Amino acid sequence: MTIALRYVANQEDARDVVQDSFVKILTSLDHFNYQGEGSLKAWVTSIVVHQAIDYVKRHERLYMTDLLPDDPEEEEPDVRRVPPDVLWRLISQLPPGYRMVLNLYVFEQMPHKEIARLLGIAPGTSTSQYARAKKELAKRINNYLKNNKL
Amino acid sequence: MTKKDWTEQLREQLADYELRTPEGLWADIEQRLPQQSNVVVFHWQRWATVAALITLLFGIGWWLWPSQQSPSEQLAKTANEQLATTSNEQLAKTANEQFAKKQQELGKAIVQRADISSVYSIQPQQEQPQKEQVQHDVVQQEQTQEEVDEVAQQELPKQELSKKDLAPRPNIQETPISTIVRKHKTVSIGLMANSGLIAYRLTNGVQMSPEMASRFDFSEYMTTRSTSNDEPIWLVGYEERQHHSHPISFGLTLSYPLTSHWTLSTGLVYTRLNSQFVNVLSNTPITTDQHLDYVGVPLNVQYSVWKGKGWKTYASAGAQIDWNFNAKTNIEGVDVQSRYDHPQWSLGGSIGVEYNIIPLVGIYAEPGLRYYLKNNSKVKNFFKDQPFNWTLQIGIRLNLDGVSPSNGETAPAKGAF
Repeated sequence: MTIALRYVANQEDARDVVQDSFVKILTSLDHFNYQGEGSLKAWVTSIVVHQAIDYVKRHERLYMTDLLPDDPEEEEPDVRRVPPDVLWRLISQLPPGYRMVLNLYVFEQMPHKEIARLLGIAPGTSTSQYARAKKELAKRINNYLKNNKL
Repeated sequence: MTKKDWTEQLREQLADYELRTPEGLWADIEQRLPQQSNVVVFHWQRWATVAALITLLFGIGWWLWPSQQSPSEQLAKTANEQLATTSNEQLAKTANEQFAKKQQELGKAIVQRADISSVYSIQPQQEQPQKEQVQHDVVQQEQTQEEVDEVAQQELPKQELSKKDLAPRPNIQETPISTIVRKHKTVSIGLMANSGLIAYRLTNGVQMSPEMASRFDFSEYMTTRSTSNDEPIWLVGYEERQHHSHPISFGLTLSYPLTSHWTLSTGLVYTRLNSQFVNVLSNTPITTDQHLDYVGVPLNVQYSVWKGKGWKTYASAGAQIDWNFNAKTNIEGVDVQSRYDHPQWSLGGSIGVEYNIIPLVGIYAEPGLRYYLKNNSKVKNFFKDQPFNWTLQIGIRLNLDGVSPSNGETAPAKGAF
């Protein structure tokens, strides 16, 4: 689910991706060639990633957005005080464009040039989207910390 | 701005985080697994369809394998026709019709007992000297069937017929002049091989969605950009390549001569289509291999243009329907569920040259054109991307001696190998 949610927009789509992926995995085990420790995880991950990319391509759910206005620089949040499930929820609530770029940049550790190629956008757009996503996420995390007096 | 800030902490904090699996997900997966096995059952049904088609083909071949007159029977027929022109034409015709009717009633029993049937002819005595030579030849050919003829004569109610119909005409006598009906092999089964002449390769970009295009910075890629909506916008760093290999066909053919020039042929043809699709995403190719198996039934008419010295040229045209009975798709080494193609109709024409290397065996080549009609299927294959294509069919035909049903000339049946 974690891998799928890095590519698709919401839980329901991720569920579909995971479901399709596991059906393929379970029906294709005889095609798996064990090549050492970690190869099974890499194989499963590859299937999920391919399935997720295919899902995104078919449903055309990738788009960039500039709906959020530019705000002043946000103070860096102390993410260590925020539970992981809250962090993930806050990330998942970002607009799709922000969320996709931030996931690819932070968790997949892809450079903006590769993200731009992957999403079909200009590298500059990826950079600006990431900056906006980072600022928006920082704002939401700070609000959470403030509201919960952490 | 680098990642060595709070986002680094964010990544580390979520590195081992796993989302809770939604309830019912595993149940949904289990529910879908039997559907996969149903696909296997469906494959068996498709193979059963293939077996049924093969059986049907052989059935058609057996049905088209006709019972034809032997040379002696034809000679007898010729003699009877000559008799029909005599002054006793009506009388002889009436008698023949009577005996033919009786023969139909009792013919089956005779054939079952002796594996032959008999044809009787009543000839006027006055004409017998004129026809004696003809009848003599026929009777000579049938001497080996004397015993059988006797059986036939015993079974036919000749006396009754003579009393009622022939007694007022004592100059009429009955003489068996033909007794043999033998099956001749005018239809045969063989094998053929067919191949498309042109493989098909396509490399294409993928259009960008309007939403994505609205956010795209074109300044880096274009000096000027038209604002026309008619111009397609292509995704950057993504392209699709597809390659369709030569279609390869093998088949059984049945040919049935209609006349000395026209031949009707059908058969059963297996066709294999291999395609490879490559999606290049961020310089990472994702390869998909697709294999489609079809079984088809052609129906063609062939016109013989010229024959001589072992050579023969002909033209052929017809239609064919192909059913996709098996489909396999493999993405980066992983088999995935495949989509089956709809029934595929095609029209084609060809010219052929055949050379008999020995009297019974000929080799041939048929270059031609084939057009595959749209079948509203979303399966990408050679038929869809190259509907109009050159083909080349080569093979060996086994020519079995037979008698043409039209003019009695010896005509070969054709089976292509």
